[in-house]
Amino acid sequence: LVSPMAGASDSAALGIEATEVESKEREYDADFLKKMIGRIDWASFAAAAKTLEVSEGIPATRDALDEGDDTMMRKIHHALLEVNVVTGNLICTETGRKFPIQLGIPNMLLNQDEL
Amino acid sequence: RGSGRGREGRGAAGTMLFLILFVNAVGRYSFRQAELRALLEMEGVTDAPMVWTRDGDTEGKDSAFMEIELPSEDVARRVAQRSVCIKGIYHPWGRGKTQEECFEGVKAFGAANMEPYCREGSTFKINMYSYGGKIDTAASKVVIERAFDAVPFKGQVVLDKTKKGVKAQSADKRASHQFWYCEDTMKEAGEQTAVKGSCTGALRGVWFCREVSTGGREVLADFDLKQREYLCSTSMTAENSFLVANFAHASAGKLLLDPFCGSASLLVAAAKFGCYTMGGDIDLRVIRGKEKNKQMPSHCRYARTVDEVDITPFDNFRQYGLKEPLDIVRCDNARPTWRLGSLFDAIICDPPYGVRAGARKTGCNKETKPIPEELREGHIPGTIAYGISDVLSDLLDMSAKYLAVRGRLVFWLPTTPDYKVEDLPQHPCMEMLYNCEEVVTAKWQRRLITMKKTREPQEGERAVCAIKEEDEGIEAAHDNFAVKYFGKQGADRRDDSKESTRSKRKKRAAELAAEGRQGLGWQEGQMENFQEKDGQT
Repeated sequence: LVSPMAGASDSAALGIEATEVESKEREYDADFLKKMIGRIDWASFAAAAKTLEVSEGIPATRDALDEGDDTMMRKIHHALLEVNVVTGNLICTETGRKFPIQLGIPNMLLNQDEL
Repeated sequence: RGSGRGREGRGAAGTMLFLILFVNAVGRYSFRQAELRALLEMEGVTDAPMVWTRDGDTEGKDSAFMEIELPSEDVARRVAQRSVCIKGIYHPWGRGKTQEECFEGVKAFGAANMEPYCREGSTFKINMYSYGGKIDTAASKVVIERAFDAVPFKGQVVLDKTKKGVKAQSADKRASHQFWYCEDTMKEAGEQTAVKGSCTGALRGVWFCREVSTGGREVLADFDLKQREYLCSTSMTAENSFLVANFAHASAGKLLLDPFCGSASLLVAAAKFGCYTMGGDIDLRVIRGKEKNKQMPSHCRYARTVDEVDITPFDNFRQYGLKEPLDIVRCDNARPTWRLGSLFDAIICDPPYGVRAGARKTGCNKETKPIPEELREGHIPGTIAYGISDVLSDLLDMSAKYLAVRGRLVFWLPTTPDYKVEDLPQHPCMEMLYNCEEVVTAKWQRRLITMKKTREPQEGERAVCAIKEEDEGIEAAHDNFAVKYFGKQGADRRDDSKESTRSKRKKRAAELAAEGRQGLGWQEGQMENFQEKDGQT
C-alpha cells in the first residue's frame, strides 16, 4: 500500500507499527510464495518484518534469498502471509501521516482537508 | 448434420464430438456460450468448433443443446465441472434427425466402443430429456427397447433420482454410467407443433449419449445466500458470483482483488476455486462487521464500535472452509492506494451504482475547513457522490496498473436498453473479451463485462470515454442510473450528497405523516445515530 495523498510519490513505502499482532496459520504453498516474492517490494517487506520482530532468518535483500532453502522460505511464508497486524498504524514515510489499522483493517481514507 | 462423423465420433483432427445441455437462461442466453469460451481458454482451447443445434442460431438464443468438438474427455469434464451454465456434457453414440437415424448411428458406433460402459457388474441408467416436448411412459418404453436393441448392456439398472441433468440427492446412489436420450423439439412460431408424448413429431435433433460429466451447479446449493453467515444488501448471488469467478479464471495460486468487496460474496466464489483474495471498500461498516443482536432489524446491526463486532466477512470464508482473504482494506478507488503495479491476477467487482448502495468517494461539496487537531483521530472523512462513469474510468485505470499482464477485469454494469458500446470508457491497455447482456426488466438490463490487460501502461495513459462531459444532452445509458431505475424522487432519497440525513429524515417523516402512515422512525433514527457515533471508534 502507498499513501493516497496527491503529491505523495507512488513509490514511498509505508512504515508499520503495531500494538496488537496475531498469527493466522496458512497452508504453505511454495509456488504462490515464489510468485508473490517476485511481485512485492522486498525492501519494504524486510523493513516491516523487522519492525514486527519476525525478520529472523529473512534476508535483508532479495539477492540473498535462496529459494531452495526450505527453512528460509517457510519463515518468509510466515512473515508475509501469516502475521497480521490487528491494531496499529501504517505510516507514510514522506509526511508522517498515520493510517490506523483496527481489527486488521487499514483505513486508507484521507480527510477532506487533505485531498 | 447426418452421420458424417467417423465411426467413433471422432473428428478429423483427433477431437471428440460432445453434446452440451445448457440451462435455460431466460434473459441471459449469451452468458452460456461466453462462460464456455472463457472456461475453454483456461484449458488452452480457443478454436473449438461449436454449433448450437437450432439452424442459424449462432448466439444460442433458442437452443438448449450445443454440439462441440473438444480435444479430449478430460477437457470436457474439467470445463463442465466448473460451469454454472452447463447442465451436462455427453458423448453421443448416435445422432440424427429421427429416432431411427439416431439408433442406427448407435449400432454403427460399434460394440467394441460401447463395451467398457456396459460391463457386467457395473450399474447404469437411461435418462430421457426432451427440450420443448414430453416423453411419456409409452414413448420411454419405445426408447428403452431400441436402446437395449442397439447397446449390449450387461450391467445392472439402477433407477436413481437423476433427472434433467441434476444429480441425484445422494451421489453414491447414482448409477455409475448414465445414458441420455435427448430430443430437441422446441417449436418456433408457425412451425408444426410436435405432438406431445410422441417420438414421431417434428424433431430437430435426437441423440443417444453417454454422460461424461454433469455441470457445476451442485455447488450453488451449498453457497446459497440464505445460509450465508455474513450478508449485506449488496451480496451477490452464488450463481452470479461463480459466473464472475469463471470469467476471471479464478484458480489455485492466483491473487484476486475486489475493490468494492462489501460482504466479500464475489471473493468467496473465487476462494472456492482456490484463489488467494484481497478486498477493498470505502464503507467501513460493511467490512468491519456486525453485531449479533437478535432484537434489532438486520440493517441496524452494523457494529458501532470495534468491541461490538461479532461477525465479519471473514466468517463467510470460515463457514465454507475456504482460505481467508489476505487482507481487507478501507480505501477509496478514486484515489487508489495500492503501491505496486502488476500485483493481481484478476480484479472482480460489482461496483455500487446507486441502486442498492450509493457509490461514494472521499471529498466534500462544501468548502473544506481544516480539521482541528483534537478531532482528527476518529474523524469520518466526508464523501461525495461518485458518478458511474468516473467509477468505470477509475476501475479501468486501476486495472491497467495493478493487474498482471493477461490478467482479467470482470465487473457488472447496470444499464438501460439504450446501451451502446460507446458508453463504456476504454483504456489502451485493456481489451474487451466478453460483454454479456442480461435483460432484467423492460426498463433495465445489466451486463457482465470481461476485459484483459494486454500490456503495461505507459506514462500518462488513462481511460478515455467517448462521451465527454461537454457533450450536452448526451449521456451514457448507465449515467444517472439510479434516477432511471427509481425515478427522480426515489433516487434523491438515496443520494446522500444532496442533503444531510437529518433533514432528509424530517422530510420523510413529514411525507409519511401526510400520507397518514408512521415511518420506521426509530430505525431511521438509529441509522443516523450510527453514522454520528461511528466517529467514536
